[in-house]
Amino acid sequence: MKKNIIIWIMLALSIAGFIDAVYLSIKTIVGSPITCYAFSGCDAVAQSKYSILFGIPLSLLGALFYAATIVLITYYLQHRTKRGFQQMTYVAIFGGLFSLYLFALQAFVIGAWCFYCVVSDTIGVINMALAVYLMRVEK
Amino acid sequence: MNKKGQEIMIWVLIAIGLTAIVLGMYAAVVTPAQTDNANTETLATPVAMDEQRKGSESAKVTIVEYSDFQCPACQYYYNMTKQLERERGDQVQFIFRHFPLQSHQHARTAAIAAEAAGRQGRFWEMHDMLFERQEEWSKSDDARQFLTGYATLIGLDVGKFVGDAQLPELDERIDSDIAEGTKQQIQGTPTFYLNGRVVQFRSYEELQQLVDAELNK
Repeated sequence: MKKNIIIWIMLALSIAGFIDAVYLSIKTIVGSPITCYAFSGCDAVAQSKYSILFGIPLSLLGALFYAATIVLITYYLQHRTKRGFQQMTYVAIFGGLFSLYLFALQAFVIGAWCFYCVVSDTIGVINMALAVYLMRVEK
Repeated sequence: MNKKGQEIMIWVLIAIGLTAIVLGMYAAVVTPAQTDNANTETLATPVAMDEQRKGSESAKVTIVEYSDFQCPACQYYYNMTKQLERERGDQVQFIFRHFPLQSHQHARTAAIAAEAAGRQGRFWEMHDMLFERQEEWSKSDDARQFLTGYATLIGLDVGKFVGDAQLPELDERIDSDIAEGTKQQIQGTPTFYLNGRVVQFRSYEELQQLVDAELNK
């Protein structure tokens, strides 16, 4: 039962992560020019050279990642297979590790924070923690 | 409905939901925010003679920029205005107004350094130096040391530069620019006004088009 609640929390967080990443992607691609806001930091992070991987904005990859997580969690909730469980948790752990890398990039390399990136990264790390917990319970 | 039917239904709902999120976010981003105040659109304080200016006074195009030397976005735009200056320098006048953000630790110190350089007629040389070397001084714990170094590099009398940096007039000038910007409801930096109207551009080409439109009026 408790396990189910955790999976639903992961699903809800992934939906929030998807909304956040889609917003950031659209803003990066068609949004207003980059600015340092008086109260909410700089767009500089989302426009920096680190924000692009293989020619694709990281925010867009983030949106695809959260969409994939939503699909995998939904699939697991329907079928409850061991393979589905593994895919769901491994993807969440990969996302969490990548989020930690992005946190480090903002803190130590770019030296600036972007609000929507931090939201996405936080969700990634929480989902990883929940996935690790699920794996321990499952054993 | 059987189990298979239910599953398909859920996938359809997910697809619709995700698409709705994408469309909703797109609408939210591309619809410009409504501003109730016309103040934000037009330049409230006209350009005065004693401001930091560059270019011909009789230029057909005047660009006023509210800027922060430590702001990475301002540095990004610096390259565009610099290119404009190279290509249209005789037809465009640039005005610099300070708007150092509190989130940038050394922004005010840098603004004072630029003003102190201005006392020796080298405001714009320091301005260029600060943007070109932003990575260097803005990440340092001791920005002052770098700023003094730049003063030497641009050929200032360093003793006078350090002394001038202590003058209360410099602080007052920056405060006055900030007060004007606040009255203007500047949301962030850089904010550009082209012939008194707020403008937004994302690339040099867009800036060029805006300027050419004014020149051809």
